[in-house]
Amino acid sequence: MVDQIWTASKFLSGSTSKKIPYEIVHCLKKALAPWTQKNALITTALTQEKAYSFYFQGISQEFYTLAKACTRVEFNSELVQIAFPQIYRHRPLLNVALYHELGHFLDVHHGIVNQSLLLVPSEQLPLPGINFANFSPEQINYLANFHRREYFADIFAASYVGKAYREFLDAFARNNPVSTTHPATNDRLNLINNFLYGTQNNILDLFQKSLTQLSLRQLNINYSVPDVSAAFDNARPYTIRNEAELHGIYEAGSTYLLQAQTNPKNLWTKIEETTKERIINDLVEKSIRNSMIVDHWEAR
Amino acid sequence: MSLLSNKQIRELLASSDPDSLFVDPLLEETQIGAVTLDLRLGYDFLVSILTRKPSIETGSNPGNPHRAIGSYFQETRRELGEKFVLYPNQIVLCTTMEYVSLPYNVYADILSRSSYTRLGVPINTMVQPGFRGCIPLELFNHGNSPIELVIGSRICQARFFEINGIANYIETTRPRKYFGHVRPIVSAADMDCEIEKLRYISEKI
Repeated sequence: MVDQIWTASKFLSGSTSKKIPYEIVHCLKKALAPWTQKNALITTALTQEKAYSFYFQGISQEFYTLAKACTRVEFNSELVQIAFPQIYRHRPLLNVALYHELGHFLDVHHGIVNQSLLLVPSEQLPLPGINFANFSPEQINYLANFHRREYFADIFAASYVGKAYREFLDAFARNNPVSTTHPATNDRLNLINNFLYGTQNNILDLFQKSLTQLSLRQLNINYSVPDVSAAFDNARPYTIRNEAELHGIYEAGSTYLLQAQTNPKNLWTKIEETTKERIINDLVEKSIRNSMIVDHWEAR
Repeated sequence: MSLLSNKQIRELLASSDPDSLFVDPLLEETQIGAVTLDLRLGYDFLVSILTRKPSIETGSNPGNPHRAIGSYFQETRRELGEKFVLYPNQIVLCTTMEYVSLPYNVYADILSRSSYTRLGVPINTMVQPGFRGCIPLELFNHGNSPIELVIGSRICQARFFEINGIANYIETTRPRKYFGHVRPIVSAADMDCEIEKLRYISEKI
């Protein structure tokens, strides 16, 4: 219990340090809203760790029960604790991994993978890159549990930010082999592609069935990719029109950045490579922040 | 060169021409005055801090690298409606909340609104034709009391002047240091092209 409080205070202090990227947190809140009835408080910690150190720090449901019993403290919000590298705080296109971490939170929160294990036991669902014949029943349960968790978080991220997440995963974990905790990157990419292009996949089908049994929404495409070219060609932020575009701007920005780097047009021919990456990330960030500002302003 | 009127500012804002005036978000039409456009206080700040180093160096020396100017400032962010306290004798860098894109034949003067000048917070900067970004503001509290500023309040105003001909803000031969920024950045005075030449002259004298 002390460990959980210590960790929670670390993440809370990160969120109150006034350095956090409010823009990505806003998007995560929007993504989270339809998945939970409870109040959820997203807290973030900016880490000084390696460039790919994104992680979700869970708090077990038992903690809330125990805290109430021992201290009479009742939490009115459930903490979603997400950590990511400080150097990326102004690089929204590199923050799409946080959608994956949010997927881990929802999995733990609702017991989605646990439900899938009840529906189809570990050894009955073949996993790419794993030959169950080589492992003991305990090892099989361990592998199935961890791999299914990663697959669920991957599909969840892809359901909101699509190819932006797939490209991020490919860039940051290219050709990573299978491990006890993570599937091979190429297998993860295949599953994401199956989801994005509507190809049948047993793992995906199992998650959809599990979600149905838990009375949760299905994993669907929750974004639309806006055409940002007219705005970004002129180095102006895009005016986001709805929530689907709010999530979709990550894919639009990633695609636009790639084009500006490989086949620059207009003013991008006059701008240095590193500056292009900075400006396009800034345009994505500003597009999101402007949408937040207008929402707040019009809500009054 | 002519000062743009309310009607001309509105026409430029309404135009879909890529080389027109662009201000986003423009939360209220009333921000457009007779010959000005009110701009709001942004949400990202760089606050000057005291360090053990006695001075900020604007002249670099390759053999003796100087401390980065950014290390004399601390970053802090706010959300719309939150407050930021501006202390006396402290330099704070921030930007307008609006992202502004100027036509290639219009430059702008940015001045504090009278209400803030009376509090001892003058703003006086200019923006070149073709500029893109949130306009950088350098805040300094000349008064004796700290001032609570509200994020999103109309702190300054832009006067737009149409010039004869056009100016190329983006030139490959002369990279712009402050193009396309959405948050304040520290001075790049140490990167000015004349600094190296001046150091060379100083060494030869």
